[in-house]
Amino acid sequence: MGRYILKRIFSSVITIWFIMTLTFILMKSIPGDPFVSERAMTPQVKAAVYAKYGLDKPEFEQYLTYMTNFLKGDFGVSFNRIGLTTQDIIKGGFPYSLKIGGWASLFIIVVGIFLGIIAALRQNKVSDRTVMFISTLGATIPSFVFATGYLYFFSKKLGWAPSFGVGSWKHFVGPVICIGMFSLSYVTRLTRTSVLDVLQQDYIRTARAKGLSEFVVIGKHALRNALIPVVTYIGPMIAGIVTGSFVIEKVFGIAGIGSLFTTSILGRDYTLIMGITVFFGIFLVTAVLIVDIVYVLIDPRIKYD
Amino acid sequence: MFKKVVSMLIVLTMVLSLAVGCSQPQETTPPAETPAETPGETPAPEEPAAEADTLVWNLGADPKTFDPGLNNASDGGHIINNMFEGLMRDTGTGLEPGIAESYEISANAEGAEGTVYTFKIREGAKWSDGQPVTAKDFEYSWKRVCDPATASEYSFIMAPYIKGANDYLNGTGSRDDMAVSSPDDSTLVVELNFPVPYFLSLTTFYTYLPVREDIVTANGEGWEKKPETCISNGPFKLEEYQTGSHISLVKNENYWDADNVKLEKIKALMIVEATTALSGYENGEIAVLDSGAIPQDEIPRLKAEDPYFSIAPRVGTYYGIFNVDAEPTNDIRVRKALTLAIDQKQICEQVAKGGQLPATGFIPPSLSYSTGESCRQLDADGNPVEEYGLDPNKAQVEEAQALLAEAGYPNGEGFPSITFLYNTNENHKKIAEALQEMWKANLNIDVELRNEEWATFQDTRRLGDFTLARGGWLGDYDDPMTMLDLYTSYSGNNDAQWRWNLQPTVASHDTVLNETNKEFDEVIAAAQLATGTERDALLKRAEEIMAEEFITFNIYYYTYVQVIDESVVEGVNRTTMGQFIFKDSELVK
Repeated sequence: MGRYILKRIFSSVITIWFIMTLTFILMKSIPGDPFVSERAMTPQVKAAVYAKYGLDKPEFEQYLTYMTNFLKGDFGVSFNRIGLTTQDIIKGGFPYSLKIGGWASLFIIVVGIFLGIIAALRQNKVSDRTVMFISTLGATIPSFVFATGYLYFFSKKLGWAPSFGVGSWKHFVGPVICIGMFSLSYVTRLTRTSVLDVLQQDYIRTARAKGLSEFVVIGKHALRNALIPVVTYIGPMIAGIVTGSFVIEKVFGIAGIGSLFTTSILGRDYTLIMGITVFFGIFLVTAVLIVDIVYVLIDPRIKYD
Repeated sequence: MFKKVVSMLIVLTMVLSLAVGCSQPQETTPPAETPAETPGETPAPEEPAAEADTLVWNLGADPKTFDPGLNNASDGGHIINNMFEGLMRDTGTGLEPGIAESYEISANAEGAEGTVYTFKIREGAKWSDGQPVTAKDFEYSWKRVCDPATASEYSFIMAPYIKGANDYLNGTGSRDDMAVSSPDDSTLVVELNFPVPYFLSLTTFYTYLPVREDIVTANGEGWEKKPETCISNGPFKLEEYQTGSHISLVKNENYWDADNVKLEKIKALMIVEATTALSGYENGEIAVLDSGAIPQDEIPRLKAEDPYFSIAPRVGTYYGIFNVDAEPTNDIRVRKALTLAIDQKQICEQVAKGGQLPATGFIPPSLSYSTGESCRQLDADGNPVEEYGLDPNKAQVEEAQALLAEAGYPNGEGFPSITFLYNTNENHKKIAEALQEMWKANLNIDVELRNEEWATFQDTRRLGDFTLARGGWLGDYDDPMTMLDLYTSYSGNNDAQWRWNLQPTVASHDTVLNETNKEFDEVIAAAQLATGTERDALLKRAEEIMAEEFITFNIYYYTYVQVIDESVVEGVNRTTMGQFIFKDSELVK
């Protein structure tokens, strides 16, 4: 197990290096640069600005400089927010994204799995049908429609919720629900399908035939197997959710890091593009690694040597 | 039944314990920290609810910077205008002395009148840390802007005017030869290359506002983003900057006119989404919203229902650019036909909807000549009237058709397929579609629409890789020259590619020459040396050349749409160039 984890960490590092290199190449190949503005700069001023940020050097040299600095823990200064480093910007926004994403993940896991199991146990009954109907809605309504609708009713019409920003718990209800809707529906359906699948297995019939209680049959035998696909999905999902959502953060006026993916690319903020990509890359790779480790814990049949 | 209830309870317990169980292994990696536990404990800074003495305003974006010497955008400009003060102040209705108590204008050694400005610094003017504001601060700040090492993107608004500044900026002169000096702490002397009638107005512009040498050298770029090092000399000072979220300003007790500043605190939000900002306003959470924060589709409703909604003129023109080097727009008859086929009024009323004025000439009506007369001829209601043969209120279809036929395309037959390029944005798209329809209906020609996102669009347009493109220009200073100098041959902003000579440094790609631009250059050069009505006549002539040559097709003059909740705040003004002034504001609740 220990060797397996070491091996995985090593391959993760390679993956991240690969992501960084590819991002660097792609980013440099988009037209435009961080200093495009309505006011054309004179060639002298443009040269001075480029020199200030090291953009006058050949691109391979820029790449080497960036990678060297990166290894030293220096992710570079932002081009579009003078005086802030990439770390400052991520540090400033991540707490908000994490808080909303954390609650949303919890909400998805608890409610999604619970509803999925109920739906499976009461297959084709009213509760199953209701859960499936709602989850179809959740998966098909785009989150911005849902978010706008939420603001319209709860903020504008009823005045129960604030319209933007973060602060009290009231600020978080809307973003958490809106971010979670899609994954919640997905997790519910996934749980339902795999529980139904597992319940038809021979070993469940055996367990029941042995006279085990329903608690042990469902909890000990069925659920452990049924949750493997769910765990596979949840790992990367959490990584995706806590790194923020562009649409939700924009609609709810939250200063998270979700919008940085888009704004950094639109503004050609090279260092920020790299920083945020690496940040997300590390998150995702770690989440996948954790999922693999969790498999061992919930399924004794899986072993890594 | 009992069994069912029990099994449900069992499931619930299992799921809950599972969530807790699942999260345990994740605790080892900080990124995926346990969702079950983080929320209560995250170090996320809690924002206190807006306090009663705070004015909440949506700035709409996280400014790149609010260092006066480095800023290049209006969002940073709003913040700077309230935190710093220049030699003069722009009150929106005129200029008044700011840090300079008085000034004198005299002739230089060669006897050129109006080229030497001597400012007397106000006694008692202080920085927010209590130190006096001196002439040396201005000397340092201005030289910093023109220092090539500073790489100030807005140096173009200073370097061409001050003697020796351009040479210093371009590396051909020295810092000491830049003609701004402070013989003593309260006297600032600056010598200009030519009499600049709007120089006093320039001293209110953010690039000309002072910064402190000791602070800037000790802290480097980003000094203005930390309250400890952000030393300013205006009515407000920085209390908090949280990137992506908000900027809080508090009253600067050391400001020379602090007695007349009634507002204690301003919170500038960075809400990007217009519908969110508007619902924040309608919920009473935000008191001031600017153009960007008001969805276009909501304007008619607000106009009808909201007494706090208003429209104010803005120094700027929304237009289209002809590439005068490309087929078929290198034919002036085609350019003229395309221009005349546009109904500007219809675009203003049915598409833009923000009270914009239909355009004729390139210079907006909010700019005026030395006599104080507006650069546009207006009717009694303030609407532009026909000028240069262009009727802003309707398309001149017959004339347009005749010109197109004359150019060899009767009823649009044989007209090559051309493209109108705009930068990706819903509002620009609507205007592009309206133009497309008008050209189809009035001239029977097909114009394709193409959008590119901002950074790419800028490059494409600058390199002349288009036939028709969207243009928009907001003036930097209160003089017609802020619009006209775009189209000199040596201007990097001459996207129409209208140049009479080769410009190897600014536009090496433009090798197709246009003779008509020569007179334009000459008239602009003459206007720079002239004064008074003589200068006015030259500026008029410059605009006339542009109009006769149909370099641009002007669509409307920009406006600000804004809501200022006067049940919360009074006395919110804007400078001539549109920056918010909160110095005279007061909360009324």
